[in-house]
Amino acid sequence: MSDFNFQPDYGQHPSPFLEGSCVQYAWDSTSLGYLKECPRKYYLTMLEGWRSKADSVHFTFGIHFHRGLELYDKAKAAGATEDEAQEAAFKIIFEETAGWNPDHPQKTRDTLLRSLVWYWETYRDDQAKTILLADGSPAVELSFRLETEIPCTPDRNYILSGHMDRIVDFGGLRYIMDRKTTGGSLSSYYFNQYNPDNQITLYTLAGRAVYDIPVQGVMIDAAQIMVGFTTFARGITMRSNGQLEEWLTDLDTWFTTAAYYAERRHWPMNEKSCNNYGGCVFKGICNQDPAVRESFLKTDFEKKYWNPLEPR
Amino acid sequence: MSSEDLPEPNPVLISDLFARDPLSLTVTDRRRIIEHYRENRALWVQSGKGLTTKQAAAKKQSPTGKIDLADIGL
Repeated sequence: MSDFNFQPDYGQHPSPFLEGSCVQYAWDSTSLGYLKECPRKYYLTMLEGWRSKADSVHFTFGIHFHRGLELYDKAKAAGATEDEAQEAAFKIIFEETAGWNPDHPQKTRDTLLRSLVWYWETYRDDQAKTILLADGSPAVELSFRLETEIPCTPDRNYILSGHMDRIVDFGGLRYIMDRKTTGGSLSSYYFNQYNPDNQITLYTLAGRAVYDIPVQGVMIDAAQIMVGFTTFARGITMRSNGQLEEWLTDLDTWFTTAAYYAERRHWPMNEKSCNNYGGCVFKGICNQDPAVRESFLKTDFEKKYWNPLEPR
Repeated sequence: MSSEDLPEPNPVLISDLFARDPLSLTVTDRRRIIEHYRENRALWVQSGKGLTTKQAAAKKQSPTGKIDLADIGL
C-alpha cells in the first residue's frame, strides 16, 4: 500500500487532494463517510478509485431518479401545472434512459419511470413547497462548497462540499429535503438511522452557513423500490446547535486522522465495519490474501474516482 | 375512484411505446405511459398492499371495502 502510485483521473475537474499528496482537502459526506466507516474502504475508493459494478446500477438509478424530480420541481416552481411538470420531466428522463437496461431486478428503466410518476402522484398536493433563494431562483439541486476554519496547510483550509436536492418550506419552517431510494422497508428503524448521521448533519450545517437559511433539519423522502411497486415515506430529523458544534469539533479530529494515514501511506482495515448495512462491497476483497486482491478487484470493480469537487 | 372505474392497463401498447425511438413519441404517447403508471398505482393502492396499519383499518371500516385515495392521504 505504501508504494502505490497515486495518479487519479478527475477529467476536467480539480482534484480534492493537495497537489502531489494523498492528503484530501475537499470533503463531502460520501468520502468522509468512507473514512469514518473504514480507512481501508476510504483508500480503495478515494485513493485507488474502485467502484463495484453492482453499485454502479444503484448510482445510475439514483442519478436519473433525482434528475427527474429536479426537472419536475423546477417546472413547478416556474408555474407549470401538475400535468405539464410531470410530462416535461418524464420526456427528458424517458429520452435520456433509452437503451439503459441494467441487469438488476428492482433497478430498471421501467421501475425508474414508474417510481417518478408514483412519487409525483403521492405528493401531488404536497405541503412542502420549494423556497426561492435571494436571487429568485428555486432552491433545487444546490451544490455547495463551505470553507471550514480548520487549516489543511498554512495557506489553505479544509473545504466541505455537497449537493442538496431541495430546500422547502413546510408548515412555516425550513428544511433541506433529501430524496433516497432503498430496497429495504420504510419503518421507523429506517429513519432512525439518520440521527446521528454524517450527511444529514453536514447538510443542516451547510443550509445555515451557505444559504443563510435557518433550516430546522432535513426532511427525508424515501422511496422503497420493489419489482412490483414503489412505496414512499417521509421523515424529519433535526439537529441542535450543540450537535452541529460537536460534529465540527469531531471533524477536526477526523481530518487530522486522515492526514496521518496519508502521511504514513497506510489506511488500516476496520474489520468491525465489514458486516454493516448488509456487508461492505469490499468484504470479498479484504477476505482474500493481499497478494491476490488486485485480480479480484479487476473482476468485480471498475475504476471511477469519486470527486467531492465534481458538480452534479 | 373505485377499482371498477379504472381501465385495465394495456401492456401491449405500453411495451410498444417503450420499444420505439423515444424521440419519435408524441406528447400524447408520453401521457399514455404516465397514465399507465398512474393506473398501476391506483390499482396497487386499491388492492390494499403496502397500506400502513392506519390505512388498512380505514379500508376495513369502509362499507364497500374500498378506500378513496384522498381519504388516506395518497
